[in-house]
Amino acid sequence: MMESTAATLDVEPERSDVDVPPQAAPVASWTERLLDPKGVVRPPGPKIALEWGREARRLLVAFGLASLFGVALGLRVGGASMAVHALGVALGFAAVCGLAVPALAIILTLFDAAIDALGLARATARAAAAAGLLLAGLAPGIALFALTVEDAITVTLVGSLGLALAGAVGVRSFVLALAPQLRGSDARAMRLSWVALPLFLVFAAVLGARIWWVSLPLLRGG
Amino acid sequence: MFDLGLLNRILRAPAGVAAQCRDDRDVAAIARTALVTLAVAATAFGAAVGSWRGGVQVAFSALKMPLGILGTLALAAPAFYVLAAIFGRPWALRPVFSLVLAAGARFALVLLAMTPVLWLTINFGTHYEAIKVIATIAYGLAGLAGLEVLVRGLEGGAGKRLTLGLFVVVFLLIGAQNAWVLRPYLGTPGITEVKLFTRDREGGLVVQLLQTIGLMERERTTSTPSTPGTDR
Repeated sequence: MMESTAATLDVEPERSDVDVPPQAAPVASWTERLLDPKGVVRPPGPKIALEWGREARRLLVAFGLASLFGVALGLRVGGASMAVHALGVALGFAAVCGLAVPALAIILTLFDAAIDALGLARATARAAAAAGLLLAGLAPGIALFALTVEDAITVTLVGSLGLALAGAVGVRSFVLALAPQLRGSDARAMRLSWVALPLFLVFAAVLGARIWWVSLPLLRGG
Repeated sequence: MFDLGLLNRILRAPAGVAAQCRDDRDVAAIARTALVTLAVAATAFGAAVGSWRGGVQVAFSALKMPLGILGTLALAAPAFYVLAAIFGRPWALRPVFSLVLAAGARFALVLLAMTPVLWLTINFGTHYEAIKVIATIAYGLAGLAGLEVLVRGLEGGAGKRLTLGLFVVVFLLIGAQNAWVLRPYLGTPGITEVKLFTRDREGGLVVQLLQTIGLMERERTTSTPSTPGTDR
């Protein structure tokens, strides 16, 4: 035993890192886990149901974060208005995720694009998470405007700007997440997909804006 | 409690302090020192601004200036946190907030350096409009100095300009509204009454901006000077 140890020491005399504790791997922050940009291209694991559950949770967190922006807007009137606006903001995202994305899925499948349902769900959940996170970050500033400005036009303007910016961030995230997946398609499918995608984005923007216009009284100056 | 050496490093080597924030090293000390610096510098600057009217306005402005600056930082910091995360830097909350506070401390130090300049200008009896411009320039210079900490803190890589650009817009909007809520700092020429807060309905920031643009347009066409007449 002692000989063996000595032999080992003879072979590796310069190993000085024996007493140094191994460095802990850096812990991913909450936002890193929420946005998880690398997760989009990760191959599906053996338990698909778990992956769907993870994306569903990500989507719910995104809606929750987005609704904080609605609460901040609703502070102008207070009471039930906070709940109405919280629901309204989340509803805009839910409509895009529930109505526009499935339509895109059908069109992309029709074009035989190299994308599966889980891939699309991952891109959608990450886009919603990015947009929701942005809205949550802007919520304190929006609350200041909602509570302190005298004229309704400023709240309408600032609120619309915040929602538009979140929409743009969501679109950016969606396209960035979808692009690597679409690259696996053949030339024809890719060409058609790149035509369908901008049309989808315009449709999603109009749909989201319409839902927010209908469900957020403060955007109408009310 | 209060680290003078840190202030030296914030002024001389913002990149080093930014790296310390990013690595989450001794950020509590950075936060403490930054908050004290912000409070002291903003109080001094506020007092200098209030000295144009004099008397109790000095105390009012000295009280409101730190409230405005710290309030703006508190409301804008979450926006910086999410913008950094979305555009490729999903860091933990503590490093991001300490970075914002370090930037705030650098802003405050430059504001403190500008305080005697502003006070002396007021003391010479300079015109009201000129004082507003000088105070704005002081704020702008301090803002640029503070921004450098954020620039260094974000390092290179994609999304840096977008993060900074959007944050500056958010910060300016929140800062302007905060300053508007807490007005007046200087007072209004011809009005001797000193108020802690103006509660006259003046339409808000956007309405005032639109009115000012309209006024400038009218003045350009009719060449008849006039002022909006609001407290600043």
